[in-house]
This record gives sequence, structure tokens and C-alpha cells, in this order.
Amino acid sequence: MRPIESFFAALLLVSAAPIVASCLDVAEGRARRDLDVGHASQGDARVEVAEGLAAVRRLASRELHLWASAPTLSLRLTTGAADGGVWNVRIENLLPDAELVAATKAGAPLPVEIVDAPFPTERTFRLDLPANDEITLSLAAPDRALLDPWRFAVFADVQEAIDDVQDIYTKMNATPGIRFALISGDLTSQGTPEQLEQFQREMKTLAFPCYSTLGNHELGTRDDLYHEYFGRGNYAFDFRGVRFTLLDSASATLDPLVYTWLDGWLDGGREGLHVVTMHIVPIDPVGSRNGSFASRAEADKFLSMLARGGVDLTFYGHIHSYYAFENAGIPAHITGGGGAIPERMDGIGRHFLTVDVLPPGAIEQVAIVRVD
Amino acid sequence: MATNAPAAEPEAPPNPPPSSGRKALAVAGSFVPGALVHGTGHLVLGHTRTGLVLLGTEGVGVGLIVAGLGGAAVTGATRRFIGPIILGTVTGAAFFFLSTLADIYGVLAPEGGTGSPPVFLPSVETQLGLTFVHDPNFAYNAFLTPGADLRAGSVRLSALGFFALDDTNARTRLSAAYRFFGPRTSTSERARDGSYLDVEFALTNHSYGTEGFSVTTGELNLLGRLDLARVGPTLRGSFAELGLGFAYAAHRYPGIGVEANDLLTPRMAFGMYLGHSGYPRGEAMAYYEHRHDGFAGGMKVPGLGSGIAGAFGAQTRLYFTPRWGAFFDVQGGSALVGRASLLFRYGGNP
Repeated sequence: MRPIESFFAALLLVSAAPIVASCLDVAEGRARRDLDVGHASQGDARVEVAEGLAAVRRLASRELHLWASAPTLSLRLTTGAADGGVWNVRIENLLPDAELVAATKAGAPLPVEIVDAPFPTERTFRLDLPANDEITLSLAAPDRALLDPWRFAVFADVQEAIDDVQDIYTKMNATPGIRFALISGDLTSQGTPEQLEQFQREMKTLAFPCYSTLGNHELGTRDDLYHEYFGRGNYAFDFRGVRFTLLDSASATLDPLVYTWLDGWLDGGREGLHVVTMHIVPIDPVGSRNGSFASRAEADKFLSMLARGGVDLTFYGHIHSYYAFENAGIPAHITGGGGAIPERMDGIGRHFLTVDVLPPGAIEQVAIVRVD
Repeated sequence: MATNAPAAEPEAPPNPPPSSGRKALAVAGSFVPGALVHGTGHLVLGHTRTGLVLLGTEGVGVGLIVAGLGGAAVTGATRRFIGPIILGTVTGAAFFFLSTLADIYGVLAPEGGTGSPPVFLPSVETQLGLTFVHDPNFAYNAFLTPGADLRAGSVRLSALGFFALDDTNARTRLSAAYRFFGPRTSTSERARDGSYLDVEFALTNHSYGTEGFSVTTGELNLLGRLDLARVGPTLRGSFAELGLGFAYAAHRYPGIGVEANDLLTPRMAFGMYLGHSGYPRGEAMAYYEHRHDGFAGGMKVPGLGSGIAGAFGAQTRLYFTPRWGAFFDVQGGSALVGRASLLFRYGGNP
């Protein structure tokens, strides 16, 4: 082979430069950012939310502002020498009947007063905290361990239809019994700060909180904004006999770190019902479209884990329609009816799902509620 | 279709050799504005017909891409039409990218091209290699990769295996293909050039022992190669490939059952033959595979679009003697895959 041919062979290899663009750790940064959620310090004051289940929106002089990612929160607030006195603890996205309980490190209870309740899902609590102490705060609703039948909702893919989202929220508020909603990603069209703020503003009309994970549209600007506003992309919590696991599949994959967390979350959910939700479905039921994980092999690995872990129900978004199917034998529902460009000719349109739970071991039904 | 004209003998170019300054201008033009106006290099070089064909190919490509993306947006990626929409879009992308690569090749390539195609294929070709896979979500890394192609007339039977050396993972692929036209074994008619059209049926079983599942995939592909010398003399030695296909996969989860799913398997490639006579001699190509199964999977990229694209790759096949050669392949998708194999063949040209 002549030198010119070697040159051309090299040129061909260079033309395969997109290989370099293939980013294998595309979700790693977000997974690592999950570990930082719920931790903040300001001077000598420090707050740590257990399991990172709330985003610390602000920690300032005798002021704490949280966005809750779960119905039950446990946090430790450490006060320094200058931090004693009256604190305002503002919590958004909480259950309307949630109660905050506070105690010193020695176990002495502290009085908690509600000073502001501007929306059903927002409270500002006032507490008189001692200096140089470690205060335990617990936020929980009275029914958190009740095993009576109950209902939650699921929706996704609002995106550019945010200005019309009140149609959905009005219907949700009129639907009896919804305790909270899960959002399977794509809250916004580009994930800008303005859009994330608008989404949180619009949520204020809801009579219940929404626990969300992010979708690929939240990555349209930067991939580190969502966590500031809504908290972790990967997390799990328990409520009324059900374990809920929310996962960040916005990059059509799960980061390897998330798989190590998932092992523990699956183990913890074996005793009761386990519901898993994320944005991008592992395997699109319309395979030729492949609105799903980038790798079929990873999708099968993930689904095998869920099946072995005894997961009872899965929810996804990303595809702007409604599909009910099974993945690895687990009932699956794609609900992308939040208003983004709909899949045509499917007769679905805007919608959300309601899920009726019969603890400790049954899902009574998953129902589609049409908005249009 | 076949002819007795020796493919290794390049014809005289229709245009006089360009000056070095004009050639430099053509090379620059093939990149800027050639990246947008394909064929610019050839138009500058004075090969107007070839330049216009490349420009027209780009136009068809852009049209198919716009129609595909527009169709997906208008229909909301409806399940009813998404298959043809994706196949059309990938075909459009093939026309778009292959025409720009052809323009760059044509203005850079030496007279007569970088090489000549084989006009006969070996009746037996075997390979034994090692494959390295780096997938952050799987433990395996190294695979022993044996394979064999048997050809008789227009028929090819192939087997290729990947057996993990550090995990319980095994992938075997059996395929049968019929060649409508193009190079065959030496007992057949001599081919005009390296262009061909094949229909291929393949059955693949991939067992993931550690993860506890397996996938069996049946697929039907129409694969074509066009020697670009047919487009213009400056493109002699280069070729373009396009494949369109459909697959059906059975995903087996032990103790749970089997779930079926489909996938599309389109592919495109641009390549060049290496060497006109003697050894080493072979071919190299850069390619794109839209399928999301296998070791490479699809690409993961930052931002909105992760998961849509398939894998990119480059491969080289070189024979150092009439019998012995080597094969190299790299792919980038959800995993990085590299393969190096020793080749042995019986028959073929030269």
C-alpha cells in the first residue's frame, strides 16, 4: 500500500470521528449531583436531608427553604453559636396535611407554628431553635403508614404546553382521592430557569404535591439546573405500603452508579408493592421507533433487575400517547399526555393516569383520565 | 451486468490534470463551502458532471431528511408510519453524508483512485479474532471471535461468534445471503466492479448469562454497494453502501417468559479500496448502523437527543498475501467496541 493510501485510510478513520462524540458517561454528572442534593451549609448552620429527598432552595440566617421530593422528610439542622433564635422553615410541595415535628439532639420537643400557608402544598413553619444544637425535623402526613386503599396520579410531557397545563390540573383537582402525582419527566421544553420556575408556579394550584424525575427536555439548556429546583433525579421513598422509585433515564440510559443504588431500593421494596417510574422507556413497544434506551442490551439488563426485584408496576413518559403493555412481565404504562406534540391517529390526546392501590399487595386499577 | 473489462485498469480521466493551485482550491472548496454545497470540490476541479451529481444527491438527501423529520413532527412519531419515516430519514442522511465524503475523496484521491475492487470473492474465508468491549453497564471486556463465510455462486453462508473470555456472555450469528449481482466466486461470471446487491437473512442469539436474559433476533436486510467510479472517474476506488432492513427480536427472561419487539436495521457506509495490485490489498470504510442491539448499541449524547442515533464505526480489511489477511473494526455507540481478526481465505481475486 502506498503512502497516499495509508493517508486515505487514516482519513477514513477520522471520518468516523462521531465515535469520539459517543459519550459513555453521559448521565454520570447528574447521578453524582444527586449525592449533593439535600445538603447545604451557611456559616455554622448546616442542613442534611435524609436520602436527599428535598432540594435546599435556600439556607440563610435563621431561614430554610426546601422543595420536597417525597411525602415524608427527615432532616437534621445543625445550629452554630449565632444561629439560635426564631427560624422560618418554608417547605414547598408537601402534602397539605403534613405535620412538622422538631426535637433537639437530647430529644426535647420544640414547638412548631404554621405562620403562612399561601397554597395547599406550601407551608412556612416557625420554630425557636437553640444555638449550638442538632435539631431533628420530621415532616410526615398522618396516613403515611395506613394500609387502606388510596390513589395517586401519573403524568408527563408538558413541555411547551405549560400555558395550558391548568386544564390538566383542574381535572386532577376534580378527581377524587388523589394523594399525590408522579411526573415522569419533560416538565419543560428546554429546562431553562424560567421554565422550571414557571412549572413550579403553575403547580401551586394543585391540591396535592407532585414528585418528579427529569426528562430529556430538561437537558435542553444545561443538565445541572433541574436538581436546583426539584432535587434528585434518582431516589426512592415509601408511602402507605408502596415503595416508589423514580429514576433518571433522560439520557436514554441509567448511570452505572444508579444501578448500585437500584439494588438497594429493590431490596427495600420486596415486602410491599413497588412502583418504578422514569422518563425514557427501556424498550419502546413500537420497536422500530426506538423512543427508548440507546442500548437494547442495557434495557434488558435493567428490566431483568426490576423483574427479579419484584417490581409491580412501571410508568414512563417520552412518547406522547398512552400505551399499556408488559416489560419483563411487569405491567407497564407510557403516559405522555401532558400536552406536548401528541402522537397522531392514536385517539388519545391529553390525559393523566390514576392508580388505585389496595395495600399491602395489590394494584386495583390503572385508569386513563382524558382532559380534552 | 458483468463484463470482461479488467476493473484494475483505470481509464484515462476525461479532463487534463489540474494545476496544483486549482487542486488545492478544490480541496479547500470540498470542505468550505463543500460541507454545505456538496460537489463544490469537483466543480472547482472542472468535473462539472460529477459535481452536479453529488450536489443532486445532497439535494435528494436533504429532501428525504426534511420529509422524514417533518413527517415525524407532524404525525407525532405515530406508530402507523414511523418505520417508513425512519428508513427514509436514514436513507436521506446516507445520501447527504456520502455525497460530501465522495466530494472530498474525489479531489484528494490519486489518479486512478486508491485501489481496485476484487472481481472474484473467495469461496472460503475464515477469521479468528479478539473483540474488546467497554460498556460501563456490563462486566465483560474480552471476546474470542471466530467466523467463517462460505460462498458458492450467488449464495453466501456465514457464521460469526463472540464468546466472552471474562464473563458468561455469548453471541452467535448465522446468516444466508443471495447476491443479485456483483462479485462472486471464481466459478461465476467476472463482475464489472465491486458493486453488488444482496438480500440477507440472519438469525442471532445473544445470551447474557450474568444478567440472566437472552435475545434471539431474526432479520431481513437488503444490502447494496455502488462503486462510485460509475458516478465519475475521480471517484474511482471509492464506494458507498446502503442497507435497509427489519428485525424481530424475542427477549427471554428466565422464569418470566418471552416478549417480542421489532427494530430497524438500516446501515450506510463510505469506503475505499486499497491497492490496485500485489499486497497488501483490501478496503476500508466508515459506517453508520442504526440498530440499537448488539454490543455497540446506539449513541448516548449530552442534551436532548440521546438514544435516537445508532452506532458509528470504521473497519479495514487487508490481505497481506493471497491467503492471509487482517480485519480491524471499531464502533462507538453505548459502548466502545474494537475487533482485530486474522483472516484466511481460499480463492478470490487476486
